[in-house]
Amino acid sequence: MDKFLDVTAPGKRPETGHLHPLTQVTRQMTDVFQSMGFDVVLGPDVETEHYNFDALNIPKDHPARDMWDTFWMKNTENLLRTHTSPMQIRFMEQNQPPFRIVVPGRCYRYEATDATHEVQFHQLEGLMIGKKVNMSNLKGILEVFLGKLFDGNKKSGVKIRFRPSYFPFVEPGIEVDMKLKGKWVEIAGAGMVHPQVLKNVKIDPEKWQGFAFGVGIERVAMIKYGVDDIRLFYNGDLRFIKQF
Amino acid sequence: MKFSYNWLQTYFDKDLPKPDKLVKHLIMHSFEVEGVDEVSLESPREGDKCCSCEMAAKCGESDYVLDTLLDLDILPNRVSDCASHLGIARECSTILGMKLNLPNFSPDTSENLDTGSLVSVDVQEKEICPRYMALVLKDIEVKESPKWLKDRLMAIGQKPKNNIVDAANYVMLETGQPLHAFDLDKLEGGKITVRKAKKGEKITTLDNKDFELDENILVIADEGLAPLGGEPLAIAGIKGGNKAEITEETKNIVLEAAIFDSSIIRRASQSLKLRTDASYRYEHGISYFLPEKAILRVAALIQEIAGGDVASSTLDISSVNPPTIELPITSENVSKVLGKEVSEKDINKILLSLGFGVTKDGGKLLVTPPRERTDINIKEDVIEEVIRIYGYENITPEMPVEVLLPFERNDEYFYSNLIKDILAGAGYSEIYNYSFSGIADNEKLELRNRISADKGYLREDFREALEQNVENNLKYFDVVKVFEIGKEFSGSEDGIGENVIVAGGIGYKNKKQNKPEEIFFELKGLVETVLNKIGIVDVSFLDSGEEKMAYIKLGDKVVGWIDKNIFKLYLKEVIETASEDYEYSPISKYPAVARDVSLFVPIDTKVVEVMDIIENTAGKLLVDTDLFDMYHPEGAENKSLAFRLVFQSNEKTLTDNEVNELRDKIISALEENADWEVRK
Repeated sequence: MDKFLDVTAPGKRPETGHLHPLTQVTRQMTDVFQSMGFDVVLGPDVETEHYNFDALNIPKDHPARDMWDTFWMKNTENLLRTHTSPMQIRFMEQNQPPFRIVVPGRCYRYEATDATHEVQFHQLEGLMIGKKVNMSNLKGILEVFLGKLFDGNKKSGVKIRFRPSYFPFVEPGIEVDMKLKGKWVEIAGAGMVHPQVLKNVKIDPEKWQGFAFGVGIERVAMIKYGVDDIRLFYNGDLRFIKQF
Repeated sequence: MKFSYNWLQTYFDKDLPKPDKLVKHLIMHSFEVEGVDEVSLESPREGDKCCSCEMAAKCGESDYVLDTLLDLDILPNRVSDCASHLGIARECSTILGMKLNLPNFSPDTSENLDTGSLVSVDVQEKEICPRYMALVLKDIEVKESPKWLKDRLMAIGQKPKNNIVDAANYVMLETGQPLHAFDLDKLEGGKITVRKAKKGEKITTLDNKDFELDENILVIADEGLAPLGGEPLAIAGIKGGNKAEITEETKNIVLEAAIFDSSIIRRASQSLKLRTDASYRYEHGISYFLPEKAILRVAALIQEIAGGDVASSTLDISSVNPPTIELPITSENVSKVLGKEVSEKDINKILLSLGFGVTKDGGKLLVTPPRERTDINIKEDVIEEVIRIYGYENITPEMPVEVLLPFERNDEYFYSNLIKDILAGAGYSEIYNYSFSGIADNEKLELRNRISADKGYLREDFREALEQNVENNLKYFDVVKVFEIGKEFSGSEDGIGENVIVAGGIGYKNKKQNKPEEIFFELKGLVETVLNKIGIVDVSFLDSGEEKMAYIKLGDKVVGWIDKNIFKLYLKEVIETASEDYEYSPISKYPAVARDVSLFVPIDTKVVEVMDIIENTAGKLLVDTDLFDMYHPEGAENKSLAFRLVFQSNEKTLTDNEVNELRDKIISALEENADWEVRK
């Protein structure tokens, strides 16, 4: 009987930990962009009105500010960034074009939570400035990015489309949809960096141009893994985390 | 915002595409569509159409379609021209290439009727009311609106009132210009004043709600209570009052079409918690040129449905004269942004169909935006218009041609990820907690607007959340090992600081395993492993003086701590010491020889004290000192330590004698301490 080995008996598994799904998705995203020569840049969660709004062409009392429900600090002149776009300004102030960066980071919105809204969430901001960086390039880069992200190495790619939209810091401003299971799903906001934004950081818009985009990381994770409630990412429940 | 499909159709001779087809065009060129909904009536009235056949009365269907509503998400910059049926009709006309028929903007005016001789207007706040237009109509007949008008309003959810109020409402929804009609005979003193409200001033609005005003709110007032500055007739740009309300007895009216500053309307509307169709439009800014069009349009419509005489002159109190915008653009401008050639001819055609004025000037086009559009101010605004009509679907994806450069590594991101992998490999699972906390020692971290009691502050410390994570998960798991890499916040004179923290915690359901001492050593081993793996070898642990707590030191810098079942490392300080340089040391050709040494030491003797003596005595032939057992019998004053000492030379095979001599030397050195007893 010594020779009998029951290969159907359970194996002894090593105890391993699990990375949070948002870490995994963020990495997949930055990996694709780093392979295309984009640098990863990080920035502060606590921002000033200047970087979060004014320098991005969203002055006080601008009705577009309604698009961002904001957490304000009580005893300092600060707010919690409502998007990763302030890093466009911070980066461009310190660097001369050409450049291409992505900025993953945590953002905050003062809004009631439900299955698709959380007070905190993550975005990946992208910015590429050059002499001739145009909307066809934006479509090219996003098609490669979303293809790698959602379709891996299968090479069948994904179908994307641009729709008109409005963000004060880009022009033209667009919304990017991706076709998933026969339906168009909104996946990113994007556009060509507004000439006023370039002027605000002392870059000559006659010489330089480029695009910016923002992708919701939770949204990507929810689509990829079929997660139906955004709050699961933050409740600390290992029964959820250990599935990844 | 909801738009009536039937209403849009009235501007075209040809049939619009069916609603579901039409919205597809709008999605790709203009606005996002929130929904397409049929509005039905419970029972048919004469002339009502059902879904498919001409007459409801002949149809067996139980629902009778009044209209189809297109719910469009008007972008903030397009409210000025597209929060109106005419604006959307203009978009449809451009996208579909269908001819647009404009409604009647020319009432029949009466030569001998002069607005200025019946009413005067005093604008006291010219900055915030740059334009105020008034037009008088006499001998109108107030009655129910005609069916078509009621249907339009009902379809988009408005309640018809009477033909005058309905006409003003209708023309606002048609042109985007808020309008108001006052009963001329209720206007005391025949004078309209535009002024700031006084603190405590009151008004009752048309829907019989009372509001108390203050000096940040603009009002339209008459000469009632004149010594006190007149009585408010309306909250400017937001809502009419009931004083000069149009009723069935009304015979003569004065129409108002004005421009109010968007900021003052926005703030007033927020402070009164009163948002109306009018305030929404003012908040987004209205074109200077819109009042003159809209006031004539509403007069023409009222004349059509209520009769009456329209004054031949309009009062126009205007303090600005906006210059005509002329923007030069070339086809290169467009193709540089698009990455694709668009001919000047196509650009010209697109702009003309959008209502732009275009003249050719040498190699460029001089472009004048339509007067109702406030969003076209620079060249790039025009380029966007051309591209969205040209069609984003016509953009061919193309990779940028740029210098090939490898990416620059971001150390914070790189090491965060590396440490995450090490911790996950060691059996720890990653958690993302909230950046908020219910309490904080530092008032700088307090939020002005808290969303809930447990999120009033930015978090100063991970510990509480991690302890909670461990506790909560022990309900479902026998062993819980978790970590988080994220930000802790601190407040100081300079503002708010952010520190990236690596922290983790352990818990065991089984009480025997949940011994504080064992957990401490498990975390210590973990911290050492993590630090070693990122190239840090000089790690030491320092007594904090508090129970079961130690500081983690790299060189002489404290970079974190272990406290009970939680550890914490400051990432920035750790990265400064991290190293990717490994130097290979040759593997000895000669065998290694091991000797065990065990001893009793007082309970408070530190292992490191013993190890120091062993290592200093042995010299370089001792290549490894491994504490393989530590035992403390319950209640005893001494503890037992057992070390395995490994000796090896790079030059020769060590003999038993040589090794024994070294061991004896070590034992003698240890025995010099009278409190230590080496077991032999």
